[in-house]
Amino acid sequence: MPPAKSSPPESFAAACARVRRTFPGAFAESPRVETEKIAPGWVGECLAGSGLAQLAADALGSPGALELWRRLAAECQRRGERVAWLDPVACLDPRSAFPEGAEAVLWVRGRGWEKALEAAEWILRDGNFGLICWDGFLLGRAEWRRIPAPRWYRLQRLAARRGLLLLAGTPPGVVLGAASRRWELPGRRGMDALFGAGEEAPAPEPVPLDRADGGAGSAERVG
Amino acid sequence: MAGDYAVLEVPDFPLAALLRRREAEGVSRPAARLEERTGQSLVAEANGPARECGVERGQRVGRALALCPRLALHERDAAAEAGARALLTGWAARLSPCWEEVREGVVAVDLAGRSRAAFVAETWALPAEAAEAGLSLRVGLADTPERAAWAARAAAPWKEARTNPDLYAGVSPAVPLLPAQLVRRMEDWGLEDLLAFVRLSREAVGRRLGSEGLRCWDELRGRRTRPLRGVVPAPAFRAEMVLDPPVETAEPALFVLRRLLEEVRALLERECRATRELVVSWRTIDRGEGERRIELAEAGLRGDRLFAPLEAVFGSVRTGAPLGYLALEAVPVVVGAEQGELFVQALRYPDRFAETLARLEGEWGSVRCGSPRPTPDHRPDGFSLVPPPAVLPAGGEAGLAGTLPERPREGLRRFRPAPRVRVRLEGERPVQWEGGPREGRIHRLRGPWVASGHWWEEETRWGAIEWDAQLEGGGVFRLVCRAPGRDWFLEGVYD
Repeated sequence: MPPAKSSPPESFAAACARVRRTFPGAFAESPRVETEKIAPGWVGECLAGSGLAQLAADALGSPGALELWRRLAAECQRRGERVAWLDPVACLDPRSAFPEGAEAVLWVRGRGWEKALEAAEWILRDGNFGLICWDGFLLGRAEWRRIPAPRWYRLQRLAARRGLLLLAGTPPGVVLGAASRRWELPGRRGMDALFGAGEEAPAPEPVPLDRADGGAGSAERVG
Repeated sequence: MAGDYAVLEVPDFPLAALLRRREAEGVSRPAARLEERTGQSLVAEANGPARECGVERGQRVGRALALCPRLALHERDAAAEAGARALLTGWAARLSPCWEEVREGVVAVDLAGRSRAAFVAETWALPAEAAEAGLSLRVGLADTPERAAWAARAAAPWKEARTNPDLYAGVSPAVPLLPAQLVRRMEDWGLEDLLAFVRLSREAVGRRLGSEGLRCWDELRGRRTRPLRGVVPAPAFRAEMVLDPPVETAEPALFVLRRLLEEVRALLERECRATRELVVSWRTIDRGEGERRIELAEAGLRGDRLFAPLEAVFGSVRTGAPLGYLALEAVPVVVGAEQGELFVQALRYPDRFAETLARLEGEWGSVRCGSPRPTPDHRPDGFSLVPPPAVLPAGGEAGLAGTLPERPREGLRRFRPAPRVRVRLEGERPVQWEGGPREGRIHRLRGPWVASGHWWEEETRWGAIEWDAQLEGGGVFRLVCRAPGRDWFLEGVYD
């Protein structure tokens, strides 16, 4: 009996490529280290996707993240979607953020990250909220380290399956491995950027958004 | 003229009603209801397990307990009977708007105008539905209300007796439905069952028993009918129960709540109403009281959709003492008036929405979740939380999108509670602070803004001097000096 004809050995890269082609679903949600350049129409771009996304910013440097999120919420309501604002440290100031009230926004505040993750899961399962803002900008590094990574993957899958967007706000240097899209708001802003040159006629500058450095190696990977 | 009638009967109604609220499905212990008669406590009704032990109607308590030591004795429970009555009349009203409560636990329904196939199918399904609600229901169908009542009496659990006189075979004349004098004379004649009575000729019965005998014979043979006396009960969509013994854990409380919900739903259904608001109230044995109001996203009547938010809310209720009383009330709505408008944005999953809100409110409390609404004053951190509405106005015309300015507005992230900081002043102006999440020398400063309010009330008065301070490396914070101690706090960071 002649010996079975064996195929020539393929390179490791070729084998990986073949596996990716054969099982594309297995790699669809794999974490991508590279980050995206934010176009001027970032709000529309952000809302175009679903699943878990990350926005990193140093909230103590007045970077404008809150303003961005307000615009996201406004755009969502314009599209007829509801917004859930999960606030583990209860830092939202509704009087300045929503001076006229916000019927489309459900604000769940306080009780720490663990309860906020639980609320995120309930709200994702509910399916009535198009955007879930998980405001963890002011959570400390130590608390971020305590959040188990599988919790984010679980939420990512839930959100992707239901076509909803879960946007997690993190301090800079924290990398959510489960997030399929990541942005960073670099730098700090001063009074000129916030209130304009003169007090009588404040003219805030557009929120500066830059490409994130993509340095996951230097950043701290928490999920 | 004969027609189509159904009679729904719950045997031993007072006992069945109170056991329904006390025992879960599948649990059946010997039980009896007592009544006072001639100064003695006698057994008024006994359930199946008690009857198997020899307990019978009219027995003294001592005798009954001797026969069945595990016998549970109950007294009449008006609230439980009202609840069971609501269920029974609700099923009747579902069959036809023309129904009559013949006596307690028995309802006759005039099925005129209904197709036979429809009412047979509906009445056939009723006993199973009743069993789920914890009641044993018998259904009889016949051409007159009286014959339908006899059919129900003989049903197990459904029977139709249009022309069949065998219905009366084996039924003793000594039943409470017949006049006592007539029963005695029938026994004198040696009639063993009602079948023998209805087989007599009409002339013979009239000659010997007179007009009363003739009336009974006609009723039993279906030759005499009557219009039903319809009743219009006062619409009160509420069910309540005194919990005895008091309930300490959530599981039995939820069981009772489910029973109460069944009763309220039956009342709503009977009146062709739905509900979009449920109110649960309770009292503890130490006279503590509580109430939860659950607003549903859409009006509905389905049991599972109504129970899910109830379970979510009530499952998180903590009381200092066991519950002694539980009540459930539904706010009724006319379903047709609840139809949405064409351009109004409804929810994708309205049933889930109510449940999710109820769970969040149960876990976080109403002061920690809801839609923010600024209070109508100038207090810096004044806001209230209201339940988000089920229906939003059309996009972009009102609400958040309509109020968003074209240019970014400075928003504030608050530190709650605001950390106390040490501030170095030059004159009246702060130049540096220590403490809080970030500290340092102030690079630029705006202010002061002096604000106060509610000065006419001792407890709620407030006053503050606010400064906006930028650190050298960036980041703009709000520093606040509060009266009366002129302490400094880092209230938040602009973002």
